[in-house]
Amino acid sequence: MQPSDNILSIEKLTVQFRSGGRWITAVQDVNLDLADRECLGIVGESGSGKSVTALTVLGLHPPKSTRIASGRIRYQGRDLLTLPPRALGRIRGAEIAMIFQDPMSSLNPVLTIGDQIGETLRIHQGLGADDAQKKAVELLDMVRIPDARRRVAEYPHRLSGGMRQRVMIAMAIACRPKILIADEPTTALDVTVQAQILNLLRELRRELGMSVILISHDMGVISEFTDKIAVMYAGQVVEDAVGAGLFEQPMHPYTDGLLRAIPDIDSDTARLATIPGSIPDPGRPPEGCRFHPRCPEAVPTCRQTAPAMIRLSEQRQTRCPPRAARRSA
Amino acid sequence: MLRLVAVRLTHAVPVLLIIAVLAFLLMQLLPGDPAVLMAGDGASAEAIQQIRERLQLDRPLWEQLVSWVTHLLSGDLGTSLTLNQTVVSAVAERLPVSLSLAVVSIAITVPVGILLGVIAAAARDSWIDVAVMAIALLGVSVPSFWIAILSVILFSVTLGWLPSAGYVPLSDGFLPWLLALLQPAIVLALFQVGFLARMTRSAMLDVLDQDFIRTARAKGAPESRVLWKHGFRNTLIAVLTVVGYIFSLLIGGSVIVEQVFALPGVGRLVVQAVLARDYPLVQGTLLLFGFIFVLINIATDILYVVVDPRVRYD
Repeated sequence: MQPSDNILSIEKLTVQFRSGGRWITAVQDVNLDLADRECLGIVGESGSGKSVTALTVLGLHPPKSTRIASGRIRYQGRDLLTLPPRALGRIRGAEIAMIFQDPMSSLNPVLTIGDQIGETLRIHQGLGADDAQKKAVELLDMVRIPDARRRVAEYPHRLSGGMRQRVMIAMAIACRPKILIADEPTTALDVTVQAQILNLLRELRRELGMSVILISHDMGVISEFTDKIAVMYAGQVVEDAVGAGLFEQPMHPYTDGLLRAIPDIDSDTARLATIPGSIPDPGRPPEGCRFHPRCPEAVPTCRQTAPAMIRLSEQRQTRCPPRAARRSA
Repeated sequence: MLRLVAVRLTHAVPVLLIIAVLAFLLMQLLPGDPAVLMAGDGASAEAIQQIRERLQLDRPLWEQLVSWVTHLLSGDLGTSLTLNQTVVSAVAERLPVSLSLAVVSIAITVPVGILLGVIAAAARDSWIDVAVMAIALLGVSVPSFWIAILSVILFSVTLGWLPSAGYVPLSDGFLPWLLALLQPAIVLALFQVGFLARMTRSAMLDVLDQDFIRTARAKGAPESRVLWKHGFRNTLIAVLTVVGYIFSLLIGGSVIVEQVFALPGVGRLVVQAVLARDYPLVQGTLLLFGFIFVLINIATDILYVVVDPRVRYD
């Protein structure tokens, strides 16, 4: 694949946090590519490093307790990680926008939603207060908030969770960004609202021609929405796949676990499958493959050597050598 | 909004009534016979009896209370025993001085305290933060009479920039008024700035950890906008509370500072009244301070609604 195909490339990204005087690796050696108008899904448990990766793209970590140990994030020929704050500020919200998990706390409680949506336009396009307000009404219409003209003067606490997430989306798309990063956009919402928000994102993506990075722990959400999937575990990408291949034939035992954890209404089993054990302490990752203590298929080598990503085809990569070997056999 | 003001004021009535009764009880709670105490050492029995009659201390308690409240409602707080004037006029004469001092020192405190607090929070844990907080701690801890005296030595005696004592009414011109108050106001502000800066900083630190601050940064908002528009705006409740509190303390008169700078304010009046055992005056000022305190609290409560749309009283 030519690098020019990708609008965003994360290369060998390693991010560390300071915790109790020690640097803890939260994300290790992550490679991800996002092509123009593509939707990339990142899936994994909490603590797998998916949100950290996303926040790093926009440089939204607290600078003092975060260290980018290695890697590059290439966007339009520039490395976002080495960009001066001013230049990064011009990209944030204008070219790469982000929406977050909890719409309840992600909106400023003392500013009207019109102010908050208009602010993006005032910052990046130098719009005046009146024009920004007018555009805010249009944007509220775009995210299907009824009675936008009246709603624009409301404060966030007067809106439901779903409405607030729509406001967040309106804010994010105000400047027609090229990339939208959605970090668990539906996790905090009711199930019925989740579907509406996902549909809205899908429609807007088509309308505006955005590339999207969708982060979720929910395989169901990811499978419906994305062209390409990366599965993360304990700070590493353990498997990635273009298209639906990942669901038909997972190439990592952790992916199996995630797929089994999707509730199935038609199934007779009373209990939902879980992955035994829990995600390792990022301060002390296990030797060898990070998943081996929880892996039903672990063999002795898994405990000793940390596996690298293995390219299976143009579409597939895995960090599980036994599975890779079985496939080629 | 008007309704809110009316409701709040109505709610305050019982509190004001309790304050009035407490002020009344002050006279009863004194050990011994207040008339004897007031008359002082070596007073004749006649003089004591006179005071007793003048203050109606010979009547039953309930009658005294009724009389006190009815007089109060007609704006009569009695007559001072030592000054040749009514309590109301004695206080009215000195209130503008304390009010002027309060206004000037608040006008210094609010911008400086807020600025220092926000800067310290923004530069959390850096040397700037440590320095600002050290200065704030110093301002809170160092006694104001000491600062006041040092300040007089430096600015009035050595440099001769500012008058060392006395008050000039506002009617004599803004500049002379301001110059007379500047030094005592700055001395007072040193303490208040420390207090306000610490409170602003801690409120800002809470706010800066919130998700919506990350949202503001994700929008591409420059750091100054993140700090003030998104951060500071959300600390206004805390800031307002502190400013209201400082203001009500100041109205009660800054006893020490008024003393050092010879300002004829209510703080000095209270001290004089207590030392001279002028109980009607003590009662009257106590009542006044209670009322002002309640009114400032009501004003603060109402302003909460203005600064934070989530606050509602109904």
